[in-house]
This record gives sequence, C-alpha cells and structure tokens, in this order.
Amino acid sequence: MSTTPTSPETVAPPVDLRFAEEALARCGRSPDAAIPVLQALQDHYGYLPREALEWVCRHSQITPAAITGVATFYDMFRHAPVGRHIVHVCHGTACHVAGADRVEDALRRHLNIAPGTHTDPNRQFTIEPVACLGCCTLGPVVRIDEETIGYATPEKLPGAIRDFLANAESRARHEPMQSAAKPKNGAAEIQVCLDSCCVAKGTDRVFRALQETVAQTGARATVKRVGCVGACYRTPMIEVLVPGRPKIAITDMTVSRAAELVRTQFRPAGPVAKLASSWSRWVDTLLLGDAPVPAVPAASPAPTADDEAGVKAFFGRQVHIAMEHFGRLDPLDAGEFLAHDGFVALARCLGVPRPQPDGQPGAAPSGSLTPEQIIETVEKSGLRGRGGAGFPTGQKWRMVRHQNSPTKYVICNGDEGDPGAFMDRMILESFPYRVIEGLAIAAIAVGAHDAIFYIRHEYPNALKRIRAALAECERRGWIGNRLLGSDYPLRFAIKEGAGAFVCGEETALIASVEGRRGMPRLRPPFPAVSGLWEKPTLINNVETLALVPWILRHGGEAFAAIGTKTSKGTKVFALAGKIRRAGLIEIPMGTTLREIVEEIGGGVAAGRRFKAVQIGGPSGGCVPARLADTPVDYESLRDIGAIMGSGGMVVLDDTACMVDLARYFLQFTQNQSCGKCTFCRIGTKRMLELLEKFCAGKARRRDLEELEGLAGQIAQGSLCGLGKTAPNPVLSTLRYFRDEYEAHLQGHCPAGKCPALIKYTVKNNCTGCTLCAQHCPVNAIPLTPYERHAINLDLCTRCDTCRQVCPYDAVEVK
Amino acid sequence: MSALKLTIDGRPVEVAPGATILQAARQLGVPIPTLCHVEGFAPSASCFLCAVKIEGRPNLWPSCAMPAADGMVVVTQSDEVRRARKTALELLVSDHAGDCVGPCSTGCPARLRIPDFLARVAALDQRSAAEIVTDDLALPASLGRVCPRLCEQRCRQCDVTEALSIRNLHRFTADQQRVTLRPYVPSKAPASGRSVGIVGAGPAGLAAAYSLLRKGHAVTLFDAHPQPGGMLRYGIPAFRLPRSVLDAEVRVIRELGAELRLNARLGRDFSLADLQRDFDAVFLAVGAQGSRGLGCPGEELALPAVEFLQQLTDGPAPEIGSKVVVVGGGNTAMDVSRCAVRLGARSVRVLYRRTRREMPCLLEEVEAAEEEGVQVEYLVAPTKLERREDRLELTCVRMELGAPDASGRARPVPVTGSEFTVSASCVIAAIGQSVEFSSDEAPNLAFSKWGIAVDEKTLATNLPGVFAGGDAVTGPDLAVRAVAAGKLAAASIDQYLAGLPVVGAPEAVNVLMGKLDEDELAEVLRDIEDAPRAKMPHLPPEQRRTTFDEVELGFTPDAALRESRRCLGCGCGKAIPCRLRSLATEYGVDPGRFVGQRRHFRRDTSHPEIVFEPGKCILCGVCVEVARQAGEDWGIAFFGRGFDTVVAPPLGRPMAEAFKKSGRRAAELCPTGAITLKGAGCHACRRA
Repeated sequence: MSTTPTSPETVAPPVDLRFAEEALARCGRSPDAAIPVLQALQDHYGYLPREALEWVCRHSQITPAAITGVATFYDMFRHAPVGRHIVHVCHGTACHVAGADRVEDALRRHLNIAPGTHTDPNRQFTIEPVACLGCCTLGPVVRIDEETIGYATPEKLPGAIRDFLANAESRARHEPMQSAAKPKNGAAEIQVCLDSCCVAKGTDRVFRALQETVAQTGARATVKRVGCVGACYRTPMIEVLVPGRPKIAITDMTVSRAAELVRTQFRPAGPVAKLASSWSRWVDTLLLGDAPVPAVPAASPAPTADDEAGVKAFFGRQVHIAMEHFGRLDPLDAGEFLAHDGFVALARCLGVPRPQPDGQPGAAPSGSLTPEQIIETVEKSGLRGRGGAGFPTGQKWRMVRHQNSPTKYVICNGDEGDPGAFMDRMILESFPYRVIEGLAIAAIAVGAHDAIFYIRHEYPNALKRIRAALAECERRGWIGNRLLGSDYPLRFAIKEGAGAFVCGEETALIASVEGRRGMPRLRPPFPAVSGLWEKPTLINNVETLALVPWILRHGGEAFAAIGTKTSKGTKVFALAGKIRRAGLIEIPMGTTLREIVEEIGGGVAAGRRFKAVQIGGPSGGCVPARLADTPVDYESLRDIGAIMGSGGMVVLDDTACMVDLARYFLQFTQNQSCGKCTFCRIGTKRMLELLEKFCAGKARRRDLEELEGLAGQIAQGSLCGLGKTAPNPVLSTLRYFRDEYEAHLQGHCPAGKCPALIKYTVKNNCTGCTLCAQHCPVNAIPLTPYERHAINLDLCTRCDTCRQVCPYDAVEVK
Repeated sequence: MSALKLTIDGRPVEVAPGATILQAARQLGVPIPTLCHVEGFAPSASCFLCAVKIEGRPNLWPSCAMPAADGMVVVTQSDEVRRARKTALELLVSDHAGDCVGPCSTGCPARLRIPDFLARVAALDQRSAAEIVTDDLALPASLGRVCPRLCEQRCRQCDVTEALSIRNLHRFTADQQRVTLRPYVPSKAPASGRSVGIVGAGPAGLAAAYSLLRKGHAVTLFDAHPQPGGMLRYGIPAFRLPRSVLDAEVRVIRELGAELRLNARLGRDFSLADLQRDFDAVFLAVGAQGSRGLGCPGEELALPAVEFLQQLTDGPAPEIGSKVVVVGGGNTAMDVSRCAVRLGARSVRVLYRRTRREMPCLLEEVEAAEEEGVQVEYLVAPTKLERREDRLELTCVRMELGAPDASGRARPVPVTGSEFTVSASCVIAAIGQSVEFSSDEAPNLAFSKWGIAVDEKTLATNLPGVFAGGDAVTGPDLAVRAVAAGKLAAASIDQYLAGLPVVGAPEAVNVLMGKLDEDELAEVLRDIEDAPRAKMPHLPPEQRRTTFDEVELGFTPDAALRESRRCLGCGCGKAIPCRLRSLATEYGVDPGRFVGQRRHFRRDTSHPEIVFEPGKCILCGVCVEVARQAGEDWGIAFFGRGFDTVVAPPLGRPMAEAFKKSGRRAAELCPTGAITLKGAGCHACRRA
C-alpha cells in the first residue's frame, strides 16, 4: 500500500516499543538490516507504527531518510493499523482473466469496506490487492491470512469467509509432518502434495484426515507428503502407490472422501486385492455421485474424471529435468533426496565422497571437477538463464570466475514476480535440496563462499521449505565451514523480498539486499564485476539452478541434445488461463505453442475459440492463434514480438479483449515502476491513461499514434528491463490485434469485455423467474415476477452475475 | 591502466578508465544537457536528458552513468536523440505542479510580469513596481486605463472570489510615477549610430520607439495627425484616457530622444523608399484608421466614428445636434455615445444587431454608458439611411438570433415585417475599422488579407529592413497587442541593426497547472486575506454628463495596497534560472502534449531560508544526497514508489528540521523550482 506523508487512516493504538528493541537485537543494527527489521516489526504490530520507526532510527545505523524510503517503497509494508485479518486479492494475469476485479468489488461489498479505504468499520478485515500469489491455475485466488482460497468467485466468497472464521481456532499453524514409518511390505503409500496451490484446495486437511483415519483404523498404509506433480487441473488429488502395481491417481479429493477411502479400501489385513483401475472408476462414480451442482459455473473447467487419454496427452511430451522425480519425493526428506542422486553432482565438484542417508561415510567419488571444468560443462550444455533474459549461464559464471576478489557472492533469484508465473515457487517448494545443490555448485564454480536465497515474501511456503532444508543441511554438517565435509566453506542466508516486482531485476535485487529502495542502476558495470557490496556477484534464477545438478551428472552434451539450435534443454511453463488442462509442465525447447495448447493443455473449453497465448508476463507479448506453430525458442519468440519470459503462459479465448489485456499489463508495470527514470515513471503512466481512454471508448485516432510512438520511446529510453519491456504487451497487441484497437476507437469492444463499452440487456425469452434481480449486487434489476426483467444501465456495474445465474440464457452482453 | 580512446560526434577524445561518456564530452567541450546530474555526485541516471546513442548498441544510454569504453562511437545530437530528449521533457513537464509564470501573465499579449509587480506594490516598493511595469510595457498609464484586461480573465482569484483588479493596479503604479519625488527613469544604452524611421505614433509606434531608444538607436516618428498617440488619442475619448496622461507618456519618449514629425503622411508627404534611404531600418505602424460603412443604402450620410472622435480631439467639436443615433456595439460605439451625451445631445441611442451578451465591448462600458443616459437597443439593424429636410431618417429592422456563424456567435436574422424608422440629427457608424493602407502608398510591400504581411515571429515584411506591426498588420485590435508588437519589432530591428540573425523574441516555454483542486487552492490561499475585489471609484453619473474629465478616479494608496495583497503570487520564483524550463525552451517542448494525472501542488514556506514545492520535483534525488552529505539528522527522503513518489522530510518532521544546515545548497542545486531560496523571486516570500 502506498502512503503519503500524512496521517494514517485510523487512530493508532498506543505502541509498546519493547518489541522494537527485540527486532533490532535479532536482525542487526547495520543499514542492510532495514528490510528484515521492518518485516519483524510488521509481523508483530500488524503495521509499522511511527514510534517504532523512530525508535529504530535512534538505536541503529539506519537513518530516518533510509527507513522512510524503504518502508514506503515496498508493497508489503502497512502504515496504518489493520483489521484482525488481512485479505489478499490476487490480481495476477490468470486471476485477472478469471475476473479478479469483480472479486475485489464483491469482497468490498460483502465485508463492508468503503471505497477509498481498506478496512471495515469493525476492524475485522483489511483488504489488500496483490500482484500475484503464484496459484495461477486456481484463479481467482484470495488469501485470508495464511489460508489460500482458490476459485474464489463472488458467489463462493460469503461461504468461504464464514468457513474461515469458523475454522479460525482449529486451523493448524504448522505443516503436518510426514509419517515417520516407511511403508512395510505390501503396505500402500498414499501420496499427497502439500505445495501452496494444492493446499489452497485443501490437501492439508485431506492429509490430516488420511493420517488420522489410518491411525484410527490401523490400516496398512502410510501417508506421504510429496512435491508437485504439475497436473493442477486434476487437483485436489492423491496418488496411491501399491507395490507391484501402477500408481493410481484419485482426483476431486475432499476430507470426507479421504476418510471414506481409507476405511473402505485399506483393511488392516492389507490392501484390497483388486486395486485396479476399475476400482478407481468405481470410486469416481461414488465421488461424482456426491458432487454438488455448482450454483455458478466454476471458474476452471471441471476436472475430467480420470481421463486417461488426457493424462497421456498432458504428460506425453514432458521431459522432467528441473522437475526430475516429480510427485514422488517428500520435499524435505534429506534421505530420500540422497537416494535419488542428491548431491552426486556437488560431491563430484568438490572431489569428496557423497553423504549417505544413514550418515555413514560414502564411497570415494567417481572423479572430481575443477571450477573450470564445471564452467565448461555448463557452457557445453547451452544452458541459458531461465528467469526471462536467456543470458548464457556458462558465460555469466565465467565472468564472475574471472574477477579477482576474495569475496564473491552467489544469489538465487526467487523473486518470481510475473503475474501468471509460479514455476519457481513450485521448484522451491518441491525440490529445495536440488536448488541448494545447484546454488552450491555455482558458488564453487565462481569461487564464492556466501550464498543467498532471495525469495519474495508472497511465497511463505517456499520460504518455510528452504529454511527447513537449510536447517537440515546445517544440522547434518553439510553446509557452513565445510561444504559436504570438504575444505570449501559455503555460508547460506535467506533474504525475503518485501513486495516489489522490480526487485527481480539484478541491480534492484542487490539494492534490496543492501537495505535500500529497490531501484536499479545502469549496467555496466554488471553485477558479475561489481554487485552486492560492490563485490563480484552471480545471480541466477531458481529454475536455472535446479537444472544444474542434472547437467553436471549427465554431462553438458546430454542437455544440449534436447531442444533447438540456440535454445537447449527443457523449460518449465505455468500453463494457465482458458485451458482445459492447466498446470506446470516441463517441455523440451522447440515444442510448438500449438502442441502445448492443444495436446498438453487439451485446448480451450467447448464453444470457445482459441485466440492467443500470452507468454512472458508483463514483459512479453501475445502470440495469435494463427502463429501457434512457433516453437518455444528464445529467438523464435523474440522474432514474433514475444519473449520466453520466466515461463508464464496464459491461454486466451475469444472472451478476452486484447486492449483490456494490454491495459492490465501496463497497469501492473506502471504500478511496479520504481519511479527513477522519466520514461518509465511518467511514460508508462501516460500510456496507461491512453489505454484507459481506449477501454472507455474515448480515444481518438491521434491517441493511437501517440500510444505507438510513446511505446517505442519508452522501450528505448528506460534504465532497466522493466521500463524497456513495459511497452511489449502494447506493441504486440497492436501488431496482431490492431483491429481491436480500431474497434475501440469506434466505441466498440469486440470481445464484449470493457465495461464502459458493453451493455447488459435481458432478451425476450425471459420468463420472469426473478433470479437475476435477486442476485444483482447493486439492485439494478427491479423485481418483476412473470414479466420480462430490465436492467438499469446507470446502476449496472457489468459484474456478469445476472448472465451467470440466468437459467434461460436470457441475458445478452453487447 | 591505459587511457580509453573514444569518438564523440566524430571527434576523438581520450579519458582515464572509469570516466563516463558525459565526462568525456565535457572534456571535449561537447554540450550534453543534464537535469539530475551534479558534478561530483554519483550519477542518478534518472532524468535521461543526457541520453546519447552508441553505435552498435540498441536503445539510448544515459551518458552521465555510462562508462566510456575504448573504441566507443557516440552520437549526442541525432534526430532520434533530440526527439527522445524532447519527449522526456514533455513527460516531465506533464507531471509538473507549478506555473512558470502566472496565468495572468500568459494571458497578457505583452507578457507583463504581473505577480512580480503586484508583489512590489504589496511591499510598498512603488519604484520597483514601476520599473517592471514600464520595462515590460511602454505607455503603462494609458494601458492601465484602456486595456480590456485579458489577464484578469485568467486570474486564479476568479475561482475564489473575484479576479484581482490588475489593470487598475497597473494604472495606479504608472500614476504614482507622476506624483512621486523619485520616479523611475528608464536607462539608455550608449548611441549605436543607427537610426530607425517609424511611421505612426500610435501605441505600436510609440512602444517600438521606447524600446529602440533605450537600446541606443536614434528614432524618428512620423504621424499623419497633428498630435501623437494614434488611436489612444483619436479613438479613445478623454474621459477614459485624459490627454494630460497621454501627453506625459509621449513626453517620456521624447525625453529619451525621439524626434516627432507630425502632419506627415506616408504616400503623400514622403514615400517608403525615402524612409528606406534615410534610415537604417523602418517600422510601419500606421494602424487601421479607415471606417467600415453601415452596409446599407445611404451609408455615406453617416458620420464615421473615427472621424467623429478625430474632430472632437483636434477641434472643432462636431455638430451632432440633439438626437444622436449610434450604430454598433463595440468600445467605439460606447465611447462615441458617451461623447455625444457630453456634447449636449438630449437623446443618444445605440443600436446593436445582436444581444447584450454578444457585445464585443466590456460590460462595464455599457453600464457606464447607460448610467450616463445612453439608451442601448438590441437586435436592431439598419436597412436604409435617408436625408430629410432637417433630419436624417434611419430605417431599421428588428432581428432575432439564429444559428451560430463562423465566429461562433449566434447569427442575427431579420424579422420580416418589423421595419421601423428612427429620426436623428446625426447618425454615427461605429461598425468597425479597417486598414487604410495599401500598395498605393507602398509599392513592393506585400499584403495579407488583413493588412501588411509579416513573419509572425519577427514582424519582418518582405522588404529587407522594413518591419510592420499593430493594427496595420492584424486589422483593428487591442492597444495592448499593438504595444506588444512594438516591443517585438524593436527586438527584431535591434538584431537586424547589429547584423545578427533576426529571430524576434522567442518566448520561454510556460508550464501552466490549470485549474487547482480544492486542496491545492487551500495551499495557495493559506496566507491570503479573504477580501472582496476593490472597487474603482467613479465620478457620479450626473457630473459625468457635462464634462470630459476622467470618469474613473483611480485607487487610493490604501486601496491599492489592500488589493495587491489579494494576489496569490502565482508563478515560480525560479522561472528564470530553472533548468527544466530552459531545456524545454531549447527543445521546443509542447507543454500540452501529454495531459493526464499530475502531482499535487503543495507549498511549504515553513523553513527560514527555502520554499519547498514538491509538485515541481523531478525526483532527481539531489536534495536527498545534499542532506545526506551534510550529515543532517533528519534530511529528506523519498516516499512511495513509481509515479506517486514524492520527496518529503521523514517521519512527519517539518522542513526546518529536515535541512538545518544545507537548505541553501539544496536550493542552489535543485534543477527546478521545487526548492528555491526565499527572496529570490518567489512571491510567496512576502508572506512568509
């Protein structure tokens, strides 16, 4: 929330300053402790009381100007007291396409939060829009405190909030731990993913229900926490592994069904003999029989019940390297990690024996690699940065290696800010040890002894997992002064982002770590030469690092054998939007967009037309359906005006307005602009104002010319990648969907999306059932039973509720 | 480490490693504009004015931060670079909450520095007020009486109470000079040895003479009339502009060294070629002395208003009898009708073809005329004028308003069958003037459809060394525009005489905030007393009917002081040194290109030495750095992010605590008017 230097919204209660001293004692008093201190203060007080800030300035090296600058730069910091519960409304791309604006409106109405304010009069709830929560396949997403609610459509909200308040006490604060016992002979293993978006669908409750029921009934089964499978469209699901049988997935899992499953299927004597796919079909019949008819069509397509062909198509083309062993491993089980080639690569890089699961010393390593050899391997692999820019990773490592400095840093960039992208979150949550290994290898290659994880605070679960994994590594003596028992010291630290998309940019990230406002600076000099604390610094994306161990184990050529001439290996994409099968997929570079959308994704919903794919987030572009045969490859995408980006891929159908989409992205980048350079700070604002004119039907032809001209100049005259690429969505939609801009010039929105340009009317097949009038949240439809209803267009907010509830399809949008 | 060799605009330069392109350019003497950069400070790379193109690399680069590299080829002035800089400036200016000069000044055709002189009046410094007023506009006492005060229409006080009585204060300031012991005497440059011949001693000619004489040139004014003043004397009656006042103003110009040759008419007594031969430059300011006729049969029987006024001025007074009809609706019609009253006519009627709302004159003139007994009738037009034995008979028709015409005013349409006749002893036509000057008088001179053809920016005609301005160019127009034209012509002529390129007086770019919202108005009104607009005292109407003495009596010093203190002090104290403005002017910026959300106007005068107006900030961060370097306890901080970022003292501290030691330095280094020194030109200072 931004703030102006005037008085806060509400009267602040008196502040107990003892915690401020605690925060300083814990986080430090040097200038770079600014963000951790502020985060600690806000955790405790719920916001940042001025007295606490003044106290901090008096008792540390942090100046008033510095603390003010930092406290007002980042989104997470609040300057006024808040309600008991914070409601985050996600406005990421997929959520936007799923109607996040309407969700926020509905929330405000339901919680009685007046426009212009953020908290209700009873101080129960504070609403905060958020750029992206990284649960894109569940759009629209709402998070209340730590509870994520997926498919949070306006109709579902009142019930969801009631449930939230009812379960307040029983809500577990800590993640349930895995069952201690390994499956005994013949016992089944029930695998449940506990990553953020599955938990948003309730898998944590399913997990506990399974555990409880197993304990109660003494069933011969263990319940195991696993990482992400990637098939988000089938979740909430569990997978049952019986030795000697193929793994079975059971979708549409709920708490009651989970308990039922254990009771009926796992007798104490052993698993039911015939646990074949026919059984799962019976289970599905049981499940579908129970399924309630949704009052409103679900925001996501209904999961196709165990559609085998669909599953084959979804996984058929995928090649899992970053996601190797997906869905099988407990993310935090160090022993399991070791049993699946964990630390093989790192041990080889150090020339030490691999650690054994039982703690016994391992066999001598099969060779060792010098840093030069490590870098050569990565160079041979053709690996390019997966964060979006695609810079050759080996080259970057070499640059840092060449710097002559005893102090160097490596940083894992986990500030995945693209709305619509959640690959890095998944990798951090599901494969924390793998990323640690990749980061450690990078450190050795360049000669750094300090490794930092920089993870955005909107990913609390990812932070928890990495913290836990690092704690385990430390406990086992794998990191610290003797990396895997070698002479190489490697210290790890975690820094949390504080809510600024721009901090994904390397120099802004560094500024944030140094306790300053996240404002980029000119490159050159590059971080490789002068980075954190002006020392040579290597910054790599999470996914890039997750690929490194495999490359070191199998050799650079093996990676380079996959993909295209210039884009090697695999890429993880977050496939979301108007697609039947949404999820996280890892595919070889060179796969075409059409193959992804139609084969893997199963195409758009029936009755709708595939229009375009938005790829690369707010820095990217829209690829029209007619160009869907373009292969996923850095250069091929760049040539058609898009970018690879970090992996966000949102599929759009004919209900998407491309002008509105451009406006949405520009609103995001404009909001996230750090404000330093003229073209980005003011230019994107002016571009946004022009786009708003288009969406309101008020634009003139010269506005179109100005929009295009300004877009080009902003791209040329900005300091960092945010500004340079902010015009991309506009430029790419102008290139391929200019007709929509022309239509808006005439006051017409072809997709029927822009509220100012559409009208809702009731057709004459209306039977007068009054459902629309009953549901209209702003009372724009007078109740006229048995007569054709009429919508008052002056009151209508275009929320689409009437059209959705009408059983006769009598509401028309034009 | 060896030096780096690079090329800037085709010129080679060597610099030490670590130098930036900007440093290399400065070493070479190649100018690159900057706003956010301060020598010795770490580069901010914020404003992007210093953008340059580097061959072989896409996009543009901020030269203040870009390290020079061996073999670099830099271009600092291509079209692409200039366009980018222009856009950057237009973006900055679109988010600028400040007026460079008061909106009143931008409304004045001569750009009189109104808030400046009002501040001097308010500070009881009449002499400095007079200096400003006289320097900016010749003939201040005259203009202070007859100008239709376009400035007042833009005065911000309109949004609060009523506009400042600017014209009357202008007059007051000028009038004070005639009663004070130490009047302002304009300076004069040493003789240049050049001479200028000016045809027409009206406002344009007199103003040009004033400026040229002060620049040291010799000036001779020719005028066809027996007395100087042009329309100021012959078009405006004495009760609005007393002859003594006008004579005093002409005397100032005579005392500066002007030579006057009266009763000399161009075309009859001398030719343009004579002037071109006898003088180094010529200025044609012959005005628009011709009259337009009634436009109906018998129009030659009507007395043209200009002739009437001329006879009145030079004598003998015209015989108009006791029943006078004036046709027309402008200032002249009002003036003429009021003169007729004073000449003893018992009935004076003014017939205007449209309604009161469309009358081109000021409302107060109609009111004054009616107070003196003039009857004004609307929606009446003449169709025929005939002479009867002892009187004139004017046939008129009633009109009604139809659809708007080209000027946007409703077009009057005759109502059939509504004819009526009016008898009169004299019918005066005050329909409008025309330029009575053509190629007959000046062969080889080019004409436009309105008058003499000139270059708009310089007032140069097609003949070298011959310039023209005022009504002779534009057709009948306001005196203040003629004065502005005279001043502009003098600037052009001065350049011409010095052998410099003639460019006229290019104006600096002006950023205008436009309408202020409630909060912003409150900021501006904070120290202003709530008082109504001062009223100008008048001679009582009964007295006015019998004398040509001045009707408006002028402000008392008390009234003037109180009125001047109503001024909100719009305009920026740093308008002249502001680097944003000077760069915007240099790059031909259009301040209206981007219209959208802008910062809020705020003015903080609480610091003892500086005025803080964060709405003008370009977020360069220089003040933040100045405070930090000075080791201020509080200093100043960035608040927020992106477009909404502002700079303010942290944690709610007042400005006085933010800059305890480095306020002056911050003001000096701030590139815009966001931080200015008190007393350096900001009008808010007189209240702080």
